[in-house]
Amino acid sequence: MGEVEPEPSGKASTVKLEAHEPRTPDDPSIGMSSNRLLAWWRRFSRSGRSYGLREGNLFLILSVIIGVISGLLVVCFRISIQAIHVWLFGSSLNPSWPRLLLAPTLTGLVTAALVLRYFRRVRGSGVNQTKAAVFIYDGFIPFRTVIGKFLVCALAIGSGQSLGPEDPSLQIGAGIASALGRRLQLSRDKIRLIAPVGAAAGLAAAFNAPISAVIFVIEEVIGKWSAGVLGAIVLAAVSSVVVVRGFLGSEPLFHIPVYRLVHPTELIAYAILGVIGGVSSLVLVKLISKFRPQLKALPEWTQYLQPALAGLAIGIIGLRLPQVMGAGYNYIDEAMHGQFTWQMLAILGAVKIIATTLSFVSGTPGGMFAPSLFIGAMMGGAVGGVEHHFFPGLGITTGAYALVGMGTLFAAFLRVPMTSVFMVLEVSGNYSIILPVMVSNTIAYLISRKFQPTGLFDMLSRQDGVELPSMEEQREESPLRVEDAMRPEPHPILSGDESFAGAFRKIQNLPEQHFLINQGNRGWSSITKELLQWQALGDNPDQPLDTLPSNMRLPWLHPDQSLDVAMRLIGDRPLLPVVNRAAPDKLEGIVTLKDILETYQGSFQRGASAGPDDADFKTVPLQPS
Amino acid sequence: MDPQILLRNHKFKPMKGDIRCPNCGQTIPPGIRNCPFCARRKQHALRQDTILALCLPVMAVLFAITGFAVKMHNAKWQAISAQWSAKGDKDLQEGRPQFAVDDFRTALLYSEESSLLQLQLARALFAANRTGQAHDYLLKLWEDNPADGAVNLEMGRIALRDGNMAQAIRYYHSAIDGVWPDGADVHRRPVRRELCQALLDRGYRTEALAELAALSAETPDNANLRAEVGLLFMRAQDDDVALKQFQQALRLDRHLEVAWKGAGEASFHLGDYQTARRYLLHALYQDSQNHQIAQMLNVADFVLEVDPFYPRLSLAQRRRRVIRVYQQALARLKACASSQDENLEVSKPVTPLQTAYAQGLKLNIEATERALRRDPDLEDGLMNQAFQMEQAASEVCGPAQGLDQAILLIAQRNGGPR
Repeated sequence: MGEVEPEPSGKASTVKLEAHEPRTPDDPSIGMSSNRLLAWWRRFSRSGRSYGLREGNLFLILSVIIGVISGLLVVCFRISIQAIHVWLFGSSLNPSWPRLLLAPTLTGLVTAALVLRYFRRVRGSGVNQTKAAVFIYDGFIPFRTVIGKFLVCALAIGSGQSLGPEDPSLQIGAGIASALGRRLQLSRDKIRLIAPVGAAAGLAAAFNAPISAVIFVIEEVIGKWSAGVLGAIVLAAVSSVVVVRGFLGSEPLFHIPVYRLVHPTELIAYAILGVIGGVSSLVLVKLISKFRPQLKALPEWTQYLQPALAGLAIGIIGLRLPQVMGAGYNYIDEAMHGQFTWQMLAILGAVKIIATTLSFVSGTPGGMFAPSLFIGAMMGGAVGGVEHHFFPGLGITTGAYALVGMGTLFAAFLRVPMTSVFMVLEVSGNYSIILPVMVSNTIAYLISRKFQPTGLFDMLSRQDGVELPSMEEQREESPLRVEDAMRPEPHPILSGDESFAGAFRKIQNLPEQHFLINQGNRGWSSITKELLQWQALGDNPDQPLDTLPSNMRLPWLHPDQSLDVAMRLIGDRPLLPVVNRAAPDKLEGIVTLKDILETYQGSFQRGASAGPDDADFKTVPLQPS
Repeated sequence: MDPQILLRNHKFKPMKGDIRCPNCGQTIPPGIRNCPFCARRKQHALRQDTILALCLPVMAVLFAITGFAVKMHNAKWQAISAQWSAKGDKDLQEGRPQFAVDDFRTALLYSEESSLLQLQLARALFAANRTGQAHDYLLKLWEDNPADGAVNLEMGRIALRDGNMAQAIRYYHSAIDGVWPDGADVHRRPVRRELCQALLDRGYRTEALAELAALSAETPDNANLRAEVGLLFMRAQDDDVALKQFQQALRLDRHLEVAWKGAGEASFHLGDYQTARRYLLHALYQDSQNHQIAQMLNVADFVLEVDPFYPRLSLAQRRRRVIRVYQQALARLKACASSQDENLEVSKPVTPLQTAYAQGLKLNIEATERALRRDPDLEDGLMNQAFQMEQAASEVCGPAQGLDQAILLIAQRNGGPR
């Protein structure tokens, strides 16, 4: 190497030499872009070695990675379910009766054994488990749970149990996020937040609907809009959906027929659909809430048989109505395209309620999203079909009713009204359906709330003896505000341009010990009577109050701010001014520490005296383990 | 001292002589050269960078595994779908549309996005008389691709079955102008022909003629296709254009029997019995067993034989023809009355046969050559009477045949009985 053969021209020799010389970063022959790249890498690696990436940026990069991995896993999860289904039942739409009876029964035995022996944490839908990870276990979801959830849910759903893949996908995503967060030794706050990021990625991938996933996670899992986590959640959801679309195509989950509101009176039919959706969701929740604890209370050996028995029952149902087996997305699609009579739709909706109850209360892991969408679509389609039957001239399409029905049951059953509206909009891509969706969802949601004050997820967690914060109840809580503790503005208020002597003359006969000073643009300060007297009788009594040191300045509050803010700000200050938002120098009142504490105390006493029926509003503070 | 242990118990007070780390500002305990806090941060950052870097190959492996799994899955699914689709096609061909519906539904389950399968399912549903369901499927396809020719054609067929002619025409037009996977030219003509037939079946003659004009323009120089258009024109009662189409077809193929027959029939309908005879003779020559042609030829011969209004006849010939027509008509009237057991010799005629007979008597014309020679104006009266008698006999005893039919055709051509 480096040896140069004699060349007839010196130029050629030079070229050859250059070709053998090692190229250094400083070599001007290297292109500008390479130079920049190397320089960037040096800076990056140096900064990495010294300080590492800032955790915020790392969090965003991590959210993309989580999204990609979740998307890949959800793709595998979905095709596993389909492959298992074909393996167990064959490719026919109407499998033979031995397959219909044996496949879910035997698979039920296997899933029960797997759950009870190896993957105890995979029971349930996955939403509550993710919430528990966020609020109890500092975002900790064992990786074993991810494996178990994947395996057991694929078996259960593939074998025809009336459950869906979305909630498990959510937990798989959360589990991946948690594992990565732990590996990267993120701070406790970030690890706690990373599980919902993964949850959004998993759900978005399962639904092929990123907006709905983001809103669901914020509405149900985190419970609050936080700019810090929103960006990560959106990034993760988008990444996962991109991956899923890359592998499985960009077709939506459902093919939605064209919708138009034929006549405003049609909204009455949608209101009726809301009532039916509300009642259906109530029936489903009541059945689950009644039978789940009863079956859980049975001896443990029975839990090995419960999924198998549920599978057998569903297989028997499947002999006549194979549509109720599994997630049933293709049948939702058919319902949207008017492939069933309204009688059939109503029967399918009712039987699916029974099948889902059987599957879920038996302890088989799996999601509740798909069944609720199925029941809603069938009920909606039935309402549309009845209307079409009696008013054929209106030109109603049952597909639109099936679509609205999906959102309706989703809102009422899972208690996520916002997600349901966005989900319908996202999967339909049709803004004109918003009116019926809002009407129907609101009615269903109100009916569900009225007759079942505790939502499904909260009820399930309470049945399991875990007191997770109820996002719905949190939304309902009216927070204490500054105006609740505020007292009227005191007299007098001193002005910053007054002299110490003049100010002291003004207040010397008053009983109060603390006085506010309005310093105009410079804000507000307070002074004690004693200090004012000392200054007034001192060397410079004619100096203005504005000459007071800046550390005597007070932060100020607004009447609409939370009392928690006042509590944090007041510290050891005697009082805080409450000012108008439009004019910061206009005083609305003041708050003292005593006022704040009394207001909290009063609120607590009112809550305690509200009685046992309303006691649900309390949320037990969770101590991270 | 190990910096890690030091860090774990780092609640030491800064002492005199301690130095601060220029990077993080923390106090470096005595006896240690490097800042333990920075060292820990560096170690943590390195670990994070390493894990992040490791994520890339992990993701690459996962991508590969997922890609392989998806590929296998798709291949399997396509095979299953093709299998069910073939079964559906077979069932549809063998007239079992209900089974075909299930087959295509199953096939669609494994190839959800296949618009071809959806179209096939819609066709099966249509064949199984589940028009509503077929319509819903097609509507979805139509929404996805409003210019799809096949979908528009099926939509048009459904609209036809529903009796919604305006919508059907619209869909058929969209199908004609639409996009077809194997080229629009192949499908344009058959679809328009189907539309023409549908319009003619339902009596929309004017619309059919408009479509036929377009069809004629689209038809290539093919004798069979030309003859086909001619037949459609004939169904639309535009015998003139139909004859031209048949003549064109014959120019392309002199041996096309359907064109000879069509041309003969069109000429026959146009009243050009001489030409009709020529064409029909050719047709009969090619298909001697065709009774319809033979019958038409027979009638044409009769017309040519007895038509007194035929040009270039001598007066004597004309008179003889008038008398023959009259006598034939009278004979048929009497035969008809006899078959109906009706007495024609009544004072007060009631039935159409009696009325026609009585009118003849009222004219008091002697159907002889001498009488006609004496008064040539009687020819019209006799012919008119003959037409009336034939018409009455046809009304009562059924359609005329042979010479009687020829007389009625002569009557039609000359404005009928007055």
